[in-house]
Amino acid sequence: MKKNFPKTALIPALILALMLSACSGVIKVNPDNLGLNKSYVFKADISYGEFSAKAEFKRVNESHWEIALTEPYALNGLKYVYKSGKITATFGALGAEFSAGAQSEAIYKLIADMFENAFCGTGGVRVAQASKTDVNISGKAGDKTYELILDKKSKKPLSLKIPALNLTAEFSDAGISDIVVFFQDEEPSDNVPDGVRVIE
Amino acid sequence: VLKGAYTVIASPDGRVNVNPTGNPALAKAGTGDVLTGVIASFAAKGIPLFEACRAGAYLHGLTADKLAQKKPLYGITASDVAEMMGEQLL
Repeated sequence: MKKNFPKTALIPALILALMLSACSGVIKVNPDNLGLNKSYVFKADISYGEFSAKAEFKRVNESHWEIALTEPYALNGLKYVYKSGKITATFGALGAEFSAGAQSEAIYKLIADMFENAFCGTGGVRVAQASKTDVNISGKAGDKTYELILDKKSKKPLSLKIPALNLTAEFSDAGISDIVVFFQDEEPSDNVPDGVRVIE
Repeated sequence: VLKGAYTVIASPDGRVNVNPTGNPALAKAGTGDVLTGVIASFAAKGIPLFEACRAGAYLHGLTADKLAQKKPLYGITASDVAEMMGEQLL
């Protein structure tokens, strides 16, 4: 015999579902609004398989990056310019250009590509979600997927993972101009079951 | 430059650097010539000699380490190292 679900139980169940969704505190965000489609700088501590490096990244403007290697110490002074899809290196007065095959594997170029994808949508789709403390952007640049995490309040990049390359990067000393503080009135609350919102 | 298991670079002014990269594949005929060539090219472009030696030894060893991920150590030749070294700048 079929029993009808009592209507009186429906309302508490809906409230419970709404509260559970609100407890996660996760909201979808539009990465275009994070203010990182402009000029900014940051330092990166990169671990790549058995190798590690430290570098200073500067996004000059769209698809134009300057990268200075600070570690390994032996290559301190090695600088890269990544502009319009092409990366060149200078070491003292020595300049170097690279084949397309070599460029496709260049980790500094890949990191710049991930940022271009994350904040400008260059090269493919990406998804951004904000929790109480950070913003997590997942996407794909070229044939590599990545996960980029930003500090929610400052919008400064914190870390990047590219699983296919076993690459992780920790970011520090980010300097970003004209940050758009659009989260200020959009804090998810534990008390208000506001569910998932899309910020345009 | 004292080429060995861990290549040592020393300067008359007292600076010493022990290179962390490299593997036994570099104990082969011709690899020292490749190292000499890359150091000479850096020096010819105005990079101070100590820094040129340090960077050259590092890239030389790094190239061998990357090659060792693709083929066995006994199969790596001096020509392989010379061909792949430029890419290590990336």
